Amino acid sequence: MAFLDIGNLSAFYGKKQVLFDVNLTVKRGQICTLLGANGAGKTTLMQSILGLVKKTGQIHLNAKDVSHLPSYLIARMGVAFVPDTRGTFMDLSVLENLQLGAYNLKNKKEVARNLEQIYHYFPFLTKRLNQQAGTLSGGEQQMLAISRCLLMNPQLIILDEPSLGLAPLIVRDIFQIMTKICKEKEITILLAEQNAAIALQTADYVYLIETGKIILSGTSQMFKDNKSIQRAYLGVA
Amino acid sequence: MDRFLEYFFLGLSTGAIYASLALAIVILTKPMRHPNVAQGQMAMFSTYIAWVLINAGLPYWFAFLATLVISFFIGMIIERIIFRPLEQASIPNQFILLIGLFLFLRGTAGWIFGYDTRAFPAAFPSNVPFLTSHYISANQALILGIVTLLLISTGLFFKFTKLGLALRAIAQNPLSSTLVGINISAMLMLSWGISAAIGAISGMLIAPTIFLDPPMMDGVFIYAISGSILGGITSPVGVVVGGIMIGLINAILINYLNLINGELDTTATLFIMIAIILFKPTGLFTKKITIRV
Amino acid sequence: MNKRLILQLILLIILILAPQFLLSSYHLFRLTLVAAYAIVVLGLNLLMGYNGQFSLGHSSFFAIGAYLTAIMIPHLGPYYLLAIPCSAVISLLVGLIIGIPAIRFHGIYLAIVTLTLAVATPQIIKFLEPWTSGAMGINLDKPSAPNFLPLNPDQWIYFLTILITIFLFYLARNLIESRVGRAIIAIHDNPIAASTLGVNISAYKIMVFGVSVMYASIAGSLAALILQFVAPDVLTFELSIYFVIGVIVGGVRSLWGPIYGAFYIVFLPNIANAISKGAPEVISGLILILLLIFLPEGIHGGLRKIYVYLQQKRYA
Repeated sequence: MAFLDIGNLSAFYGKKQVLFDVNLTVKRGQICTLLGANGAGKTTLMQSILGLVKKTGQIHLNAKDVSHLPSYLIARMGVAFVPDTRGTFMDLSVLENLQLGAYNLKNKKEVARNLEQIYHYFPFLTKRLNQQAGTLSGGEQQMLAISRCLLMNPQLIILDEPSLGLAPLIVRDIFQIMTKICKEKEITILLAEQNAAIALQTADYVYLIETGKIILSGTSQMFKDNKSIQRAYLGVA
Repeated sequence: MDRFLEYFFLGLSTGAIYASLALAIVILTKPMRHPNVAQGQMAMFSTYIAWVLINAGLPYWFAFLATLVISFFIGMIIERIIFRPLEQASIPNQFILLIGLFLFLRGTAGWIFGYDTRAFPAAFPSNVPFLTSHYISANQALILGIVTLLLISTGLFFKFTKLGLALRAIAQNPLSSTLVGINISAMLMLSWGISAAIGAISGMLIAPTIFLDPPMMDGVFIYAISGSILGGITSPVGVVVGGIMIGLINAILINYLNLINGELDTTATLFIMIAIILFKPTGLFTKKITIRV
Repeated sequence: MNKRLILQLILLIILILAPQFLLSSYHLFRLTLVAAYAIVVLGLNLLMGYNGQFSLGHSSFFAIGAYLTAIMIPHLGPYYLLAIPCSAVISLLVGLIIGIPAIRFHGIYLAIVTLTLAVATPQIIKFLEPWTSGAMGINLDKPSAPNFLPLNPDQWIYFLTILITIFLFYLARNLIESRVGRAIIAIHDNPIAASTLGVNISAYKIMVFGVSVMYASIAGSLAALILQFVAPDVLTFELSIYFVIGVIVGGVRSLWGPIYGAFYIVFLPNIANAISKGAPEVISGLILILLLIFLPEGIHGGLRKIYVYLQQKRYA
């Protein structure tokens, strides 16, 4: 059952068209990767889902049409987005950053429980709760961003280049934790990556995007097996 | 010494009023990234509303509180109708919109109420001293009390409530705030309401002294803004301390010591402003003001 | 000489000569005032529309020009016109002292500092009573035309004003279309890109500010001669706001805008005052708000849109 269903999506920056009639579906609980070079349109595609750019086309979330909803309502429906800049509230404390993730949760007990879980996965947070979030390292801010996402009780997490600027070991840790949590809670993940290796390793399904168009899609196994695809598009000799 | 203390408390209480308007301004400066130049006019208009209520027979404190509530709603309505279409517009365009609002409020007040000055009552008659003090009147003490209460409650609100956290968040990072589901437009509306209410307080507190007419808040606005520059235009603590300092400077340097001709108070403020911008532009309490690239 | 240039010259000559002989004294007076105000609105438009900065203090420079002219003229005899450039230079100095610290720091500070200057100006004028006659103001005599020109004083002052206005507009146009002008506009549109291209942002901003200050001063000098009177209580920050209104209503970033804006400034208060004393401000405020929401480019922009629309209909 498709959780995220995008049909005929075209997106624009001002008058310039950057996405051309994109179709994409992600099943519930799946991890789906968008592969493509810089400027291919990955970020724009993700921003479109959240209504952050001018677009035409249909976007359905759990069979509900969200194409015309304002961004904050889409977020409240359970779509958590981590932009490539991580979106940290720099001058607020780590705890306040987390509390903002839980902003829409009414049930205080649920929030407390979620926080406990987060501390279990990312223990370093407990030591830094009162620290200014901007003083955290890149990797820590990434984990903070993911924590904020998880606190939203999301159904869909969208990550834009989560590995950007991070050391390989940290990247591996983050991806492991994420995969684990999401499989446990049946959260759908859409992630955009330039790092083909880690993306193919983690994902179930892959979409390859180039200059605003989807040129190839298939299971990650298919991508791993097909050497000519790898050579042509992924820069592997 | 006697006279000094008299002027000291005068400066302190007047400065507290400047500080309260500065507080109203800074609450909106942070999310909007520029000060609301129409804040003084909004406060003036609120004071006229209070005047109407008092003249209609309402007791002072009823009128005071009713004005706060009415101003809160007017602030929200102004955001919803006038400001929201330009929420995404550039700062210069928003600035001009606010100048339009400035003129509209000023002209409307003049149209409805005329340009004659009116008396506005204070909570206590002016010659009643505070307890047995020779230096500070009951009204001045009340002003200090109200403003202190205002500061504490505003501080607590922003620091410890969920809404306060949301308001701080949208000022810092509107995109991330949207992404956690905060409705920025609604939060801005709330901020406008709060600002308007606090501005109303400053208007009602200063009106007894300078009398009510449409240009009433011009001077207060200049002092509040210069206090903000002195203290740091994006720091709530800074603008408050700055406002009080301007009040004290005015009272002591100008009136008590007669160092500067009393008729030149704005001129003196101008020089202070330029000196601050030259030597410590971010103000005494702010470390830096980031300009987003 | 191409046809367009000849046409422009003919229009200019008509502009210079016709009103003096066709209009009554009163209407000529109003038109002269419009021309003078067009100068200050043009200067402010250079600053706001093309360069993207804000000044709420142009009433001060206007006032300096007006007062210095009023004070100097009795001492200058037949060389009274020298008062205009002299005042402009002094205004420039004041403007730079006030403006340079603010411009180097952050845009909004210029607005605040200039606003404070505007509020302080009447105070300073009244304080300098020995020279300025304080609140009572100074009366000026209307200068007569030089002997070889058969013009009465009203016509002479119009002639003088319109020549200066045309000259200053011409200068402004050359500035905008030059390399300097492009740098100025680039700073408004994209300051970061401009600075990476080697444009010294502060220097240009200060330069544009200086030019707009001088324009305001010249306009003030002329206004003093036209109105034959200067007084502190009409030279308040509210006048500054009217200048800003003139820029926006007329149309930012256009050379025609200041002309529409000047007409607005001179004629609206008269019309609106008939309704009520607060009416001009209510109307101006509403117009500003509505313009920004629906038509940010002002009258000039609106006219251009109508023109484009009509053209499209014609060729459809």
